[in-house]
Amino acid sequence: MAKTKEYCVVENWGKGFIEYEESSRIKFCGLPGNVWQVPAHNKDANLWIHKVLGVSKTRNEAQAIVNVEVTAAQNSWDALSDEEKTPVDKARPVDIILEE
Amino acid sequence: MTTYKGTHGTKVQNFSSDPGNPLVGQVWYNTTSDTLKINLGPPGPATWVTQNSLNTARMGLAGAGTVSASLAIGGLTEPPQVFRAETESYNGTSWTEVGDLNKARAKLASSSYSPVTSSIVFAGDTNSPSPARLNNSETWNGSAWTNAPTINTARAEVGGAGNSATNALLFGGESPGGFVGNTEIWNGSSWAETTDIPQGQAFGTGAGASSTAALSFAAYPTGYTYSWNGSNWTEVNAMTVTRYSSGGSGTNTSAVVIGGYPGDYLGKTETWNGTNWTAANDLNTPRYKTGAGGVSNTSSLAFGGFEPGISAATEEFKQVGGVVTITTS
Repeated sequence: MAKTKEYCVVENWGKGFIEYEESSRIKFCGLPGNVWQVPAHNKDANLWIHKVLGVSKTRNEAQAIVNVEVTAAQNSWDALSDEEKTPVDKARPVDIILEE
Repeated sequence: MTTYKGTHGTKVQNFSSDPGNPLVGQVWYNTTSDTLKINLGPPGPATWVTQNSLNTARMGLAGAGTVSASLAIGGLTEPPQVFRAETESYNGTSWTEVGDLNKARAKLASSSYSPVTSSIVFAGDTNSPSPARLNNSETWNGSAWTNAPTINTARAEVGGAGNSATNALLFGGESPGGFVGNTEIWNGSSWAETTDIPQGQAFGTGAGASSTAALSFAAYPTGYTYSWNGSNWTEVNAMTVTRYSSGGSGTNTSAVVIGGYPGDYLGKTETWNGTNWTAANDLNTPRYKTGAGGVSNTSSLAFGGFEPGISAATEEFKQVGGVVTITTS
């Protein structure tokens, strides 16, 4: 299957991390563990990764990082009391499957 | 030294007022306002850009203000589950801790259109002394919170609108007895019951510049949008993606809904033009239970939330274009 997404790890430092022109041209998805997903084979996305000094990851490496964070969130949910789990927007965090 | 004339072949023109129909890319000096200006051309679609994060990551918080002057109020962190009293003030660049709420709480709402110098928060949830739906309200004078008269129906996961510490609207929510459509108006001295939303709802949000002109949206279980005219709620067009536990900002004629739940919709943004909701660019960091501030469907600030994991991220929904002032530093 053709690669459609690129992954990198970098901490969002706030102002200037993703600017207007970048957000207009690139479809970003920030994921748990400071993993960022951007389109593959995309010049603007590659320039952004270079700008933010993102550490490139394969899909499997990124998936492993996300899994650690999601598992931690699931464990936190499991530790909540039954009452704390009650709200309809408080379902157990689901696994996040990254696109190739 | 490089000069404007050297690179463009002409000097920057002086005008006492902005030209009526400037060319795209035209630069001029406004001698009245002493500002250098440029026409960037027609504005592009609004999109999300990152801004500096909250000092305290949290979800289920309230927000008020604009993209350059906002308040982040209360909220929840976990594990362990701690209801927060912290208030932070945003100046367009960074968040600063200011006075704490008297009653730590989450899932509250505010007079969302109010400035950072005059606001009110109401309702919410707390775990002290035990999990409870609150009837407390507190007013903000720019530096401290003061306890105000209680609302009539204790509840959490409510919607709010209004423009100051003396003007607010509270609607919907989850009371000890279940979801309610109760609506209450704050006039600066007391809360008064008024016309209910047609169906009980919670986990919703709202927008509105006053207690007589507001919008309720992104609520569970219906997802309906209701417009408030000061005396009645009217169902209007629904969002394209039904969700709840979203952020919301703006007015009853120009609003933004930000993220939400279930998980497939965490990043979804839609804008309201007074008649319809339209899909817009997604959040860069998908999440729900964000706080929000902002005055229109092209200007909003989203902060905090859950992604999963408590978030401190701040993003500004902005549109670039038109005539802008050039600043140098």
